[in-house]
Amino acid sequence: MSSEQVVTTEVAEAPVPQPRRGRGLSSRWFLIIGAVIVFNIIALIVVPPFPKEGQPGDACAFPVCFIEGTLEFPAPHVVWAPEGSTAPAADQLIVFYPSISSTIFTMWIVMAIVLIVSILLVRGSTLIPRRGQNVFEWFYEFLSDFGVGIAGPAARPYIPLFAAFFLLILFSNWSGLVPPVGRIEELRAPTSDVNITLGLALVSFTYFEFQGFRRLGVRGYLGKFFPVYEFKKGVSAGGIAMFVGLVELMLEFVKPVTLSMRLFGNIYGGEVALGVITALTIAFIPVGLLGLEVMLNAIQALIFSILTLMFIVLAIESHEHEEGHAAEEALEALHGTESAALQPAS
Amino acid sequence: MTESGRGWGYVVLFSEIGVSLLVTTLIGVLVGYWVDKQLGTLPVFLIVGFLVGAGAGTLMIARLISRFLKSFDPPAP
Repeated sequence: MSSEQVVTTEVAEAPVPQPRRGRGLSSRWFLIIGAVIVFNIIALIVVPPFPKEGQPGDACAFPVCFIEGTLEFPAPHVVWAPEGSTAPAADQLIVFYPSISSTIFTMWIVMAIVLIVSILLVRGSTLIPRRGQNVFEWFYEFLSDFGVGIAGPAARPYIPLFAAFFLLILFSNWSGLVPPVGRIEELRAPTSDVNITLGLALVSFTYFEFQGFRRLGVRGYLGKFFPVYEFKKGVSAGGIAMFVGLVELMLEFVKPVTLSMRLFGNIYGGEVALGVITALTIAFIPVGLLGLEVMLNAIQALIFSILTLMFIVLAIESHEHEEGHAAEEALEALHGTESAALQPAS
Repeated sequence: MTESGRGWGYVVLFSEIGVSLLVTTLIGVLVGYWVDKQLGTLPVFLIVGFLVGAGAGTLMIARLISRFLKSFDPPAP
C-alpha cells in the first residue's frame, strides 16, 4: 500500500467535522451595522443639523449647510486660557498659544482611561494569570513579538515605550469615532490636532536622540554626522563622508516632521471625510467608512510606534557596526564563505 | 518573523517611503524658494533645493529600507 493510500484511508475513517459557516458571527455583525444605521437615523431626527453659527432648530439647507456643520478647522477649540492672552485665528495651523485645548483635554481623558484599565487588568498579578491579567499579558507579548520581529533583538529594551505609544495613539485615534467627540466643542480626537502629533513626535525624537547619545557616547553619536575619521582615508573620501554626514544630520530633523504630519494628516483627513460623507448620505455609507476608519486608525498608531522603535534602533547602531556588517555581507556574497573564515589567523 | 508581521512591516516601510520623499523634497524646494526670493535669483536655488531635498529623501529611504530588510530577512548564522 502506498503512503497516499494510507493517508486517504485514515482521512476516510476519521469523523469529518462539519465546517462552521460562522452564522453567529455574521448575524452579530449585521446587528452591529444595523444598530449603527438606526442610531444615525435617530440622531438625524432628534438632533437635526443646524448652521454652524446658528442655534439648534434653525433651518439648514441640504447639502451645503449639512457639510459646513461637520467641518472643523485644524486649530482646536480652547477650553481654558490664561486671562489676558489673545486667541489666534482659527485657520492657523501651528500656533504658540499656551492654553488647554479640546484636544489636550480629550487626551487627558484617553490617558486616564488607558492607565486605569491597564492598572485594573494587572492589579494583584499572580503567577497563574487570571482573565484580565491574561488579556493584558497576551496583548503585551503580541506587541513585544511584533516589535522585536520588525526592529530586531536590539529593540527589546524599548518595547514598553513602543507599547505605550501604540496604546495612547490607538485610543486617541479611535476616540474621534465615538459620537460626542468632535461634535461638542470641549472634546475632539487628540491626534486630529497637529500640535498634539508634533508633541508626540518631539517626545519620540528626544528619546531616540537621547538613547543615541547614551549608548554611543557624545563622540560616537556625533561621529555619525561628522565623520572626521574618514579624512584618514584621504581628503576626497573625508569630504564626501562629511557631506553625507551633514545630509544625515538634516534628515534627523525630518523624522519628527514626517512622524507628526503623517499621523495628523491621516486622522484629520479621515475625520473630515467621515463628517462630509455622513452629512451627505446620513447612515448607510458612513457605516462602511467607520469600519475602514477603525482599521486605518489602528494602522496609523502602529506605523508611528514601529517607526519610533526603528529610529531608536538606528540611533543606537554605530556607523562602524553598520559598515562592518555591510562589508562582511558583501564579502560573503563574493566568496560564498562564512565571514568568520575571512578573519586573519591570529 | 511571521508572514503577517512581515506584511505589517512592509506597510510601515511603504508609508515612510512616501512621506519621507514628500517632506524632504518639499523642505528643499521651500528653502530654495526662500533663498531665491532673498537674492532675486529665481529659480536657481529652487532647483538646487529640489535636487538636494529629493536626494536627501532618497538617501533616507535607502538607509531605512536596508535596515528594515536586514530585520525582515536576517542573514543565516
